[in-house]
Amino acid sequence: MKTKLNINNQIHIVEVAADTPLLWVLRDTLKFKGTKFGCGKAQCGACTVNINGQAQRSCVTPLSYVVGKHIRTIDDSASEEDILHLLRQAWIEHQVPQCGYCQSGQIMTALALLSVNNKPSDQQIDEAMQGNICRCGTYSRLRSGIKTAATALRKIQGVS
Amino acid sequence: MTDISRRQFLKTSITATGGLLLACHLPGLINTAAAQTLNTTIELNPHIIIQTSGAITIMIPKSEMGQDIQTTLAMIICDELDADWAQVDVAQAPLNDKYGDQATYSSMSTISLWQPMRELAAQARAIFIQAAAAKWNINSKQCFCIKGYVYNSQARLLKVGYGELINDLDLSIKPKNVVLKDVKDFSLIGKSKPSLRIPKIVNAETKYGLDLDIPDMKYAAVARSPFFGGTLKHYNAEKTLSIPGVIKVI
Repeated sequence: MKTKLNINNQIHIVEVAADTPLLWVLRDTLKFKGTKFGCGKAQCGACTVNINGQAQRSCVTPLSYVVGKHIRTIDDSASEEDILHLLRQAWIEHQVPQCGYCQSGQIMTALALLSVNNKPSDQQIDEAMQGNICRCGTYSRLRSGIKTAATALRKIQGVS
Repeated sequence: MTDISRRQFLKTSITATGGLLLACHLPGLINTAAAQTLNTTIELNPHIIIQTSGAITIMIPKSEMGQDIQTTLAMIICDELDADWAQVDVAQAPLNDKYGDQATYSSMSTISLWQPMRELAAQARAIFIQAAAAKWNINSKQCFCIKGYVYNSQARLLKVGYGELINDLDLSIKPKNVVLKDVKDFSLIGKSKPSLRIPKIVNAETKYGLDLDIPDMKYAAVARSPFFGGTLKHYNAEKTLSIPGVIKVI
């Protein structure tokens, strides 16, 4: 069955079974290796992508669910005012990643958070990020990175 | 479109595709006269590759797993080479005997490579100095290096970039008894530098083991015993084999 997908504003036609996990389509069919395979059962968050702006675990999201929806992954490019760009800059500033394997998932979850909340509290950050596990334990730097990106976002929006 | 000569085309194409591959796969060509006119990149030694622009790629022989051996070794080499940190990047070395022991274990990478990497970098620095000294017709001792340039101590305004020297280098001579820098002269070692890997990680440019893609590659999954120390008595693969895409159970 042919399926049309909108990934990072590009249309891709894939021919795989409708129950195939989105992660497999991204990594194995389309060779977008930025989104990582961690556990395969939505327990770790490494495979997080944004589907219509929401953070979703692509390893348990069937292809049929994303038809007609907008998928955004860590592989996407970002303009200077894009939250994804702000997060990348903040991640560099705070030297957030250690091994980095979980970080594409961390960034995509943080992207969904900042898209609806430009001034998250520590508690809101912890709640939004709790499904993203980091074995290196970069949690405190993740929080700092999100706050720096949020500050940059508010500056762009002209709010305090 | 303007008419370009074959040579110009070759030069442009090599630059466009990156000289890195040329240097990696054709190291034997480096010292031949034919190749010299085309060098945009050379491999000074297995670990240090430099381009005419002065950009340096450090080939990292050890596995990266978050300990940031990539940035560590780059700092050690850059410092001893007196290169410009802003022009240094790292790449994972493929498996090859020329990189020595590539096993990565027991926090030994920095301990075991600290001395040999410094010596390699100091040798490379000596080769640049030698080439610059010959160019200026002075003694090597009258040259010194700062941030990717060789300076002429007899004429302080004279300097030449490492990258500009790559077609003048004599790589056949291995400078002996090179003097390593004194600890007090370190500019990078002992200081904190941002990781060279993080900009790549946040842009999804880092390749992990699982990201390797080989044509016709298959994935395997291991079914483990649910009990500690349990051993396999028998198995029935019928149900598994009925799942679309499953090729074999072994």
